[in-house]
Amino acid sequence: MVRTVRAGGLLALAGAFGLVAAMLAGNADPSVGVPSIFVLVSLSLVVGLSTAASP
Amino acid sequence: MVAQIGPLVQVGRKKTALALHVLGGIVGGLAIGVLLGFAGVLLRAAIGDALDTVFLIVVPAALVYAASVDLGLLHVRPLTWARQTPGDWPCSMGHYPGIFAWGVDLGLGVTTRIPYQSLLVIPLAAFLVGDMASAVAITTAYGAARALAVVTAVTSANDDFPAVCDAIQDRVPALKLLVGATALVIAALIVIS
Repeated sequence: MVRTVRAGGLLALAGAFGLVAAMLAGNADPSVGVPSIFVLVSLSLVVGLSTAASP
Repeated sequence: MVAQIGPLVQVGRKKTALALHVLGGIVGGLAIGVLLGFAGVLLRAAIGDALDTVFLIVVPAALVYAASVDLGLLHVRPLTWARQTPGDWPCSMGHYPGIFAWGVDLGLGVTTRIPYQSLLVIPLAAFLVGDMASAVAITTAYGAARALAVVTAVTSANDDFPAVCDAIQDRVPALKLLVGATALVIAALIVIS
């Protein structure tokens, strides 16, 4: 239970960081469109969170 | 990384060590984002709005290619290199600087072994977006997420790090499918957005 809560908390932290990154991109007003940057930030989060075992 | 950093964080203050690792991941992601963002801004200055067209063609195409490899649909030799984060850094640099440097190295994303081909699209997109803040957001999110994944694994290990490594390795095929499917969805979203 404690492990699940800890893992959940850290993943929530990653999500919060992604939100900050997305807000940063939102303020950037990229010419390719903010939605494209949002989804690429999401890809970064998914790939990053999936690579814990890799050296 | 879990097998290396896990036993180390038991030597000193665990929270400090893990916080430094996350900070390193953020710094690594930020650093490569600034570099690629700057290069992208230069490219935009050279070719103008044509870069947006290049982005909308190349990034989804790269995502589809990478997803096909990660999903096992395309049987080509994955692009990767043999270098791994040096295990002796905590000895040569000191305990905490070494753990921080591991985070930086992994946060850069492209200096160590490439576990998923979809990972290669992240720096490519950061370059082709041609906007500094967007590039930094894309790469820093990766660096932070990768470091947080290590922290999650270490904190949930209950000191049995080999078992956690085995569990992660067992999940690699499923994670590859997840990453590949996500890359395909994101390619579609970029095209229709």
